[in-house]
Amino acid sequence: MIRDLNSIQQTVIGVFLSGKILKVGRVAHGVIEAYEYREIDNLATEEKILNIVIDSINRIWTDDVVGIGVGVPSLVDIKKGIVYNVEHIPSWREVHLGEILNNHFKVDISINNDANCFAIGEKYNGCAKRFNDVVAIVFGVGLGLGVITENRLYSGANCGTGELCSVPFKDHTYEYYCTTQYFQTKYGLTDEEVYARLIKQDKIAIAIIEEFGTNIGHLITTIMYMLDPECIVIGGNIKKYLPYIEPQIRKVLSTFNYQKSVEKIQILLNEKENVEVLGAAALYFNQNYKV
Amino acid sequence: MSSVNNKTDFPIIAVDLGGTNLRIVRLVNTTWEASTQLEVPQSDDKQVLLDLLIDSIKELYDKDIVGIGIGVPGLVDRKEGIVYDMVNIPAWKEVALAEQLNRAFNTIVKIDNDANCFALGERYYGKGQEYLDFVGLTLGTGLGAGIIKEGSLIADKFASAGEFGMIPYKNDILEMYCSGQFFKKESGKSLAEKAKNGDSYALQQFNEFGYHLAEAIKIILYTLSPEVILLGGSVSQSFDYFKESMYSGLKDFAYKKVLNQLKIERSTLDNAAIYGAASLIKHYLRK
Repeated sequence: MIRDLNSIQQTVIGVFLSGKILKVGRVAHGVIEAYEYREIDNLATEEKILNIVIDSINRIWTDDVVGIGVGVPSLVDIKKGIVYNVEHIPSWREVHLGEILNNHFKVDISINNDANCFAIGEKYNGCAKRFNDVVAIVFGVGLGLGVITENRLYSGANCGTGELCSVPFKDHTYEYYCTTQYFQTKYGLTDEEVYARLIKQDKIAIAIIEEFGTNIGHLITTIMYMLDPECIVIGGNIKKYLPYIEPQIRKVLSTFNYQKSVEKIQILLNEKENVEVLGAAALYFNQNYKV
Repeated sequence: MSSVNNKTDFPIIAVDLGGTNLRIVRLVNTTWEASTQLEVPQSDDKQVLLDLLIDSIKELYDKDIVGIGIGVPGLVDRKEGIVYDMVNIPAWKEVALAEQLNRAFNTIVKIDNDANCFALGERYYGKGQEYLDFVGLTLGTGLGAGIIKEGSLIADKFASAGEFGMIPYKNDILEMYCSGQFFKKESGKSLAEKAKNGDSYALQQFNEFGYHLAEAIKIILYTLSPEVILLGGSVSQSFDYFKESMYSGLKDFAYKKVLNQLKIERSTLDNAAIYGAASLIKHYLRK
C-alpha cells in the first residue's frame, strides 16, 4: 500500500529518470527540501549514467535519509530492483539498480516505473487527491501511464502495466500518434514550431492540432474502456495544447458507448511541479518491495 | 496457491443476464436446486424485461433465499444498484434494478458486470482459485474482461473496466474480430463441429480468429501485464483450434519477460458467471 508522504516524518530521496532528464529530490514532511536537476547524455555508457545518478544523490544526501525511491521508464522487477531495457537509454538493458544503490548508500531502495511515480505523486500531492481510481498519463518523448485502483498502485506482474505506448492505433501505435514527436515524424515540424504557428492562428497548425486532439480523444476513450477510472491526469509536454485540443477530445468522448462514464470522468491537468519526484520518494513506503 | 473458502449454506438466486439469454439459478454453493433459462425479449419498453425477470425469479424464490446476485452486460453503479447503457439491451439505458428487485423481494440485491461475474466465478470455483492476479477474458457474443487484482475484483467506478472489446481495431473495434461476431457465415458453434471433422474452411476461420485474439491479448499485456489470462465464453470451447495461431501472433510482443511468464488457460468451469453472480451475495454477507 502506498502512503501519504505528508504524514511521514522520515526523510527519503526520490529519483526520477526520464530519458535525458534526471530529477533528484530529498523529501521530508511531503516537501522537497533539496533538489538536483541534471540533463544527461542518454547515449552514454551504463556506468557513466549510473555515476551521474549516484553523484546527484550524493549532492543532496544527509545522514537522516532512510531510503531511496526511484522511477525509471522501463519494465522493472520490483522485488529484485532490476530494470530492463530502459527507454531512450540504450546502454541500460539489464541494470541491477536496487542492489547497486543499496551497496553504495546502505539504505533500502524501491524502484518502479516512471509513470507510476507520476501517478502516486498526483494521488498524494497533486490534483488527484480526492479520487480512489486514477490514471495518470505522461506525454513526453514517449507515452507512459500510471494506474491507481482503490488507492493502490496497479503494477502488474513486471511493472509493465500502463505501457499504452505500444498499443496499436490506426496503422501504428498510440505513442506514434499521441506525442508531440508526431509533428516531426509526420509534418517535419518541431513541437515549438507547431505551437508558435498555432498561437498565430496558422491554418496548417490548427489542422495538425485538431487531428492531434482527435487522437488524444481516442487514447482517453481507450483508457476508459480498459480501466474505467474516476479521474485522468494529463502531464508532460502537451499541457500547453489542452485549450486547443479540448473540443476534439469532447467530440470523441461524445461517441463513447457509456455516456454515464463520460458524465462522471474528471480530466485534470498536472499543475504541481515535481510530483513525480514526490511519487518516487513515496515508493520507499511501499513495504513489500525493497532491495 | 491462494485458494479461497467461499462456502455458505444458504440458498441464493444468481442471474446471468445476457444480450440474448437470461438464466436464473437457485443454488447453495455449487449445488443447483432449480434453474430457468429464457430469451431476452426485444422491446423498447424497459418494463417488459424487468417484469419477466421478476416473474421468473418469483418461481424460484422462497423465504430461505438470502440474496439475489446479478451479472449484466453493461455499466453498473454498484453502490446504488443502477444499471446503465446496456449495449445489447437498448431499452435499459438506466434502470434502478436493485431498488426494483428489492421492492419485489425485500432481500439483498447485488449487481455487477457479466464479465466481472465470470472472473469472480473463476476466482472462487475455477482455475482462478490458484491465482491472485488474473484477467478473465470472455469470448462470447461480445468480448469482455474481469480484472482480478490481489485476489479481488478491481472496484472501478461503473464496473466496466476491461471493456477491451470496444477498443478501436483495424477499421472497427476489437469485439468484431475477437468474439462470436467474427464468424460471419455461420456460427462459432457450427464451425467448431466442422473443425472437429477437419473441415479446412472452419479450421482457417479459427486460425484467423487466433491471430486477432493475439492482438487483443497483447493490448491486455501492455495495459495490465497479468501473469494469467483465463478464457471463457462460448468461443473459448474451440481453444484447441485457435491456440496455435494465437501463440504465434503473440511472438512479436515487445516484452519477452512478460510473455515468458504468461499463462493462457481455457476455463473448464461451466456457468462461471452464475457462480460469480452468487458470490456477489456471499462476499456481501462476509463483509
